[in-house]
Amino acid sequence: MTTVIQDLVAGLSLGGLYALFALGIALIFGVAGIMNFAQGAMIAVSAYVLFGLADLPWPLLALATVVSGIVLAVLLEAVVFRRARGADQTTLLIMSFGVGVILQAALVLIAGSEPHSVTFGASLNKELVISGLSIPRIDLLTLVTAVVLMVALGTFLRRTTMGIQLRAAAEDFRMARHLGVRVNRVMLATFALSGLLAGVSAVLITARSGTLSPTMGFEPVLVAFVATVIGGLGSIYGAAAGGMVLGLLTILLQVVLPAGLQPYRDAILFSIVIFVLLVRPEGIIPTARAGTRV
Amino acid sequence: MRAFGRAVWPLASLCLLVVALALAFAGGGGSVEHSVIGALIYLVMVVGLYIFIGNSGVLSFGHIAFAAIGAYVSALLTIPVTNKAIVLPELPGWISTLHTSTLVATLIAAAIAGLLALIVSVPLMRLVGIAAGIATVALLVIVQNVAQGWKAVTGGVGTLTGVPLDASLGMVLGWAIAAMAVAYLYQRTASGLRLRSAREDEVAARAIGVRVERERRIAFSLSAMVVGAGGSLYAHYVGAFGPENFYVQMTFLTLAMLIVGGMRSLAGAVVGTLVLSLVAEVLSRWESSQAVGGVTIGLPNGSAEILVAALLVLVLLLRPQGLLAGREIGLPRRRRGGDGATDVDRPGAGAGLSSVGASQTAERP
Repeated sequence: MTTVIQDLVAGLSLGGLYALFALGIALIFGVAGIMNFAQGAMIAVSAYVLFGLADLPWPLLALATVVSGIVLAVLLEAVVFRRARGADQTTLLIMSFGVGVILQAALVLIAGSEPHSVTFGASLNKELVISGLSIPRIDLLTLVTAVVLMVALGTFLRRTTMGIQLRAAAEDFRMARHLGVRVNRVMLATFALSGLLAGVSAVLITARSGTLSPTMGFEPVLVAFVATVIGGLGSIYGAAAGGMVLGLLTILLQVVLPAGLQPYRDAILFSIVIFVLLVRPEGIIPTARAGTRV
Repeated sequence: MRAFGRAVWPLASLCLLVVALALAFAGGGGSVEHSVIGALIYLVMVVGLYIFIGNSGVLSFGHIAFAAIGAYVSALLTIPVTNKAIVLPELPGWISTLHTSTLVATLIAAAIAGLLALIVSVPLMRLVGIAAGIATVALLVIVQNVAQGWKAVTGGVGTLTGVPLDASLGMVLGWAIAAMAVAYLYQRTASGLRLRSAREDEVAARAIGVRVERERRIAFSLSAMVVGAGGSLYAHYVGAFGPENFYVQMTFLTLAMLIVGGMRSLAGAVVGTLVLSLVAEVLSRWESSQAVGGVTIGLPNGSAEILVAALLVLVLLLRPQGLLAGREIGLPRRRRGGDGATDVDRPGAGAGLSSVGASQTAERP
């Protein structure tokens, strides 16, 4: 029983992390139509900011990391993606891929391609023992952070003017413009939110693994892309659900797979994903506009 | 006669261009010839990518998985039997004694890649619009994971060594021409044309009875075969490789080549490959400031990669349809205007992915 609870916490925590990755992708895709490959590079850049400023006390360090994510995201929108507004989705996807490679290669130029290790969050990897349950603190922190951020994001999207404008733009961009939503401001807000999620993800990933490398953002992007597709492309809540499902499935496979099959965990996970798509091509929570429209 | 010329010229001109450039550059032999062979292998893979992406308008991030499959199949068939016992001691008996020529191995590699593609295309091609392209990354992860984990057959995360280094210029040139011919012939078949019609307007294509999923499955499998052959050639070009060779970097480079030239025409795929190969080669020589004999096409870390990526982003900003903007190379105009000057695909016509998901953004100013 205790191991079941421990595994469940591990699964929820990983799912929460994946949900944060997926939300970063889903927000920008929903509003701007960009499947933002550069999100991974944004996470990596933020992590390197954390690495570079490692002497700061940890609250400041975490804050600086998150702020760097926001600044970078806003810069990307203002410098690159604004110029490509209205391009088709394939072009935007490839463009963000290129931007991601530029950022990643810049990290290689500045800090080298070898992985670095950081002591940040080392104390978090100790386990917390509550009445026989031993749970890594980082799992709890990840879970709490994910829940708090998702609730905050949900409140922002439903209760604030900017949030409502953002959802309106995601729903029907042209109509929103006609009704007076200011495009550039909404775009900047969307990218800023995504950057915030990238920054938080960077802090959590670095604390979990204790290492960073220029390519560290690739796995998160991969997971996020797949999560948004199985959640229902274009649906913000679907993306969070998709991330959660992927995280829980990962831990489930880790627990139930026999040792001989463990090396193939990811292959099995993604095969399941493909199978899910066979049954539900529109994803778990399809958006209203997912169907064919003339 | 003129009609025949018009039909054949777009392919013939590309073949002439590739052969002329390859022979001109490789004439000096040595490391330049080595780079030319590398570029031609990339050409095979990019043309393979084009068969699916260009004709369907659906992006795929997963095709390099087929290159990996092609490379491993070909390696297993061509590593000398005595060496195989040393490199892969746990190999199942019947594979360990198998040995074929490089040509046969490449054909088998292509066939196996195509077969696997046919199977996975069933769920993948049901997805709408951009979701299909994204889901193909799942494929890349699966193949990467299996290649790393299946130590008995692939050698695991390490490098698989001992593949005969017999990718000669002539042989690779032959494969490049074959790939271009397959791509060109396919896009002129009824199936290819139906798929292209769905690329321009999926709803309209469905309305006149095009079975979009079926056509996509065909293109996906055919393109996986060509990419698989390219992967096999790559194995015989580098001689030693690991799963990492067939991952993000190769995916990026091949996609960049396709997009820079313009993914909507074969000429675009070819020109993009040639341009980016040249740029990457010059930059990497500049970067290492010596004649590099090794795997120059793989792009070393740092500045060369930044510049290639920057070039890609710039091309997308300034010329979103790529350098050739979806045109094939037509015969020169004569007498009557418009007589076979350009291909039917004009850039403005469908502005890229016209499937359902795109409608949301396509209307923006």
